This record gives sequence, C-alpha cells and structure tokens, in this order.
Amino acid sequence: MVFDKMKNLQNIFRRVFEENYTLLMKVVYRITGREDLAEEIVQETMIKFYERIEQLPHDETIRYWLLRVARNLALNYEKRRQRENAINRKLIQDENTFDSETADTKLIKKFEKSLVQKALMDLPFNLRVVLVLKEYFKFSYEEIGQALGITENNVKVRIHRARLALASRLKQGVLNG
Amino acid sequence: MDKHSHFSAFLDGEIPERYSQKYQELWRNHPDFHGFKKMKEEVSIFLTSEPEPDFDRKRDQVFEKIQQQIKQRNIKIRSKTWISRPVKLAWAAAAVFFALIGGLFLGRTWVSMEVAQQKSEEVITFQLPEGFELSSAGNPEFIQLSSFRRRP
Repeated sequence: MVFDKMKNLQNIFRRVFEENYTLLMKVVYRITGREDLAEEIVQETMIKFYERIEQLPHDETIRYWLLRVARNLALNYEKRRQRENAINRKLIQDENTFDSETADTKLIKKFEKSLVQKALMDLPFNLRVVLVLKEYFKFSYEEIGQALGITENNVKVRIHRARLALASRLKQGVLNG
Repeated sequence: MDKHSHFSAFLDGEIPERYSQKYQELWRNHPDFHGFKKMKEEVSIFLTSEPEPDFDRKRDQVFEKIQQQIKQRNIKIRSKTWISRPVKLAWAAAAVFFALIGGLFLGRTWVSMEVAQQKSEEVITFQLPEGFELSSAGNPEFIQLSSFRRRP
C-alpha cells in the first residue's frame, strides 16, 4: 500500500518535471542570464515541489507555483549578485585594484556576451521577469499575475515600463557601447 | 511614463472587447500610437534575435541530479496533513476551553439566580445612614448596599 503510494508520487514527480522542465529552464535562463545557474535553480525548485508533492495540485496549474518558486530563488541570486557587485566596485575605488572581480562576476560577463541577455540583465528584476513571460512564452496578463502573485493591472504597467526601458536602451546604443 | 500603458495592453490583446471596441479608433488615431507599436515590435524582434541554448539535451542529467540531491539531503515528502493536524488540535483545544468557560458561567448564573430567588423572599428592613439616598432605578428586591450613594 505504502509502496504503491510512493510509486504513484514518483510517477507524478517525473511527469511534472517532464512537463515543466523546458519552460522553467528557459524562463530562469532569461532572468539570470546563466545556463548553469538556471539548472541549479530548476533543481532546487523541483526539490521544493517534491517536498510538498502531497499538498500541491498535480494538474497544469502547478506551473504557476513552480514559476513563482523559481522566480523567488532567482531573486535571491539577484540580490546576492548586486551586493557582490557593490562590494567589488567599492574595492576597486578604495584600493584601485582592477583584478578584484569574483569568479561569479567573471562568469556572468562570459554569458553576457549575448546582446539580448545583456539587455535583459540591464532591466530591473521585476520588469525583466514580466517581459520574459510575455515576450518569450506569450503568457496572458492573468497568467503572469497568477505566477508572480501580482494584479493584472500591475502586470500591465510593468510590461509597458519594461518595453519602454528596453527600447530606450536600444535607442541609446548602450548595448553597442 | 505609464500614460500609454493601455497601448501595450491593447496590442497584447488584453483589453476586454467591450472597451477595445469602444476605444480602438481613438487609440489608433492617437499621435503616439504608431510610434509605440513600432517600438513594441522592435523590442520583440530584438528579444528573439538570438538562438537560445538547447536545454533539452540536459533534461535526463538534471533529473538524475535532482534524484541524487533528494537522497543526499534526505528530503522527505511532507504529509498532506502536516498543517491540518495542528490546526485541528488547536480548534479542539479552543472548543474545550470555551465549553469550560461556558459551563462555569452558566453554573454561576444558575447559583446566583437560586440565591436571588431565596433572598427575594426575605423582607429586609434597614435604615439609610444620615445623608444617603437610594440611587438604583432597578427592582428594589435586588438592590445591593453598593447602590447607595451620599446625597449631594
């Protein structure tokens, strides 16, 4: 009986993974700009799902929960990255040491060779996430709201701001510089 | 900055039909509309201008890593009832508590009524102290000594 239940849960876990892996990888890659980090975040997201597999729905609505967890994990990374960048900048200013980049920063630069990723990473985190869900995955405003836990009106404003911000960067030619 | 956010929503097909029918002519004729539409298209084209990595090549590898992590970190499935059980217990404890309080209150009221009934049959005569008057407007049978106050 217990064995059957566990087997059933394992099957559900595999199915949910198969159905959502590509979506999660693409979204997190676009948000973080790094494939290795996207992989790490997707793993952690699925582990959180595994822990709560009995409490959560197993239908297609689970993708909103998975996206929200992945987004939160990516946000944690973003905050860490910003802190590290600030420390690095301060070190450079204080000690005039130009070789004080962390391995993490170097890795980001390597992945930021992609102009699109560079442009996306220039956007504030909240704008970046809505733009990615809209432009790459054609999510409706309602779905984005559901995935991020914000109102549709908020989604509308953020998408508009994200488009304007990105267009302005493209116009200024910041990406080429 | 957000004054044309409805253009965005309109071009995304996110405006309910009853509003889009009403306002689309107005928006389409707005001097900023075509500029905004062009800008939106440029952003979309730019965002999809580079191929993205083939994530599916690592699918099985990632699943294996997750399984390993679950084993290594000894991650357990949380029971369906992990939250409902303490909630049920809390409700049960609260119910018992309120039942006790209710019982005590009812018991006390019942005893008070018994005493009052007995006392009401007694005829008490008393003399008000000099300078005091009766202030209660209630049933004189239940007047207590605390109801007396000094005459102003």
